[in-house]
Amino acid sequence: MNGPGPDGIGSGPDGAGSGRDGAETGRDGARTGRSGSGAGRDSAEAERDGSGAGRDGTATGRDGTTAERDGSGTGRDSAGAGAERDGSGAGRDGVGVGAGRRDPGLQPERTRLAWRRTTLSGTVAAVLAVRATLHGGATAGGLVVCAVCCLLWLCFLLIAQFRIRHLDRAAPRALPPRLAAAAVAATVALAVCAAALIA
Amino acid sequence: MIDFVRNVRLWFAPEEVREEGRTPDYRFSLANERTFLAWLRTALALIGGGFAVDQFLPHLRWAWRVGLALALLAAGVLCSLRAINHWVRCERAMRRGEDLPTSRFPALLSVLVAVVAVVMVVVVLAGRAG
Repeated sequence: MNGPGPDGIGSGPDGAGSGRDGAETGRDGARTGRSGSGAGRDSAEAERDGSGAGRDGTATGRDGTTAERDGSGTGRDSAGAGAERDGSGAGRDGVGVGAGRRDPGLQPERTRLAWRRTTLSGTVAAVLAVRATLHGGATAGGLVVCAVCCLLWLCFLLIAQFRIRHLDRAAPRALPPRLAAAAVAATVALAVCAAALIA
Repeated sequence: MIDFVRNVRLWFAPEEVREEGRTPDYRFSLANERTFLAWLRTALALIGGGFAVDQFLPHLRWAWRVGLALALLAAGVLCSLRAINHWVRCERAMRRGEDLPTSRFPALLSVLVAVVAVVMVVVVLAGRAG
């Protein structure tokens, strides 16, 4: 979907509850309030997250205020005024807020926290892996697999740090697919090591 | 199935994703990224759960313990693959201005986790009783 496109039309709303972001641009007073499922047109209604998988939804009401609900279960934020009222930032050039002006909805910060949360989950898994190795006597093979797990954890940490460093810039770009693939590869490898440690 | 193969290719070809459509507002991409990370966290939590089943239920029969643990680990692997596949599809849909893809995966995952949990309760209680 296109949020704030230069023609101000945006895209068709989807009523299925898939947790989309919608940003509103006010252009010459014309209301183009487009939100995802269940968004109240007359109020700053947030999107309900039905999948429990932590979808973020941004909904903007007619008056342009924004309430963001984070469905990941780690705390609800409500950031106000995330929409571009004057339409000068979001989407005119397709890039987003102008250089030097960070998103008032704190999206890069939220993404950074999401990376931190993910490394925390990875740490828990790695600690359990170490515990599994050491519990009841460590075999040589077990120690090797444990070392691999720790290496994978380190790799994940480096990936996260690299991405977080990039997010601190003024106009962060989308996640490169290779980085995403590397993170997933580390997770899958951790699962394989877990299977080796368990069986 | 062909679609899936194409998606897998896109996991490793960043330039190709940018070839089509228009670059969406970076905030949408960041939101998509956060969803991807949420799925990854789910996968890591399931992996941790697999470890936990193995370590914290020592009195279970070896077969049940390993079976449940492997089931959770498999769910973790599926979640992480789903994470990147969904991320790529959403990114492409945003570029093309299409609707975001729907999927049955969340429902299937919920059912699987519920089944594993119920089986665990039954097995543990049966082990206590017997």
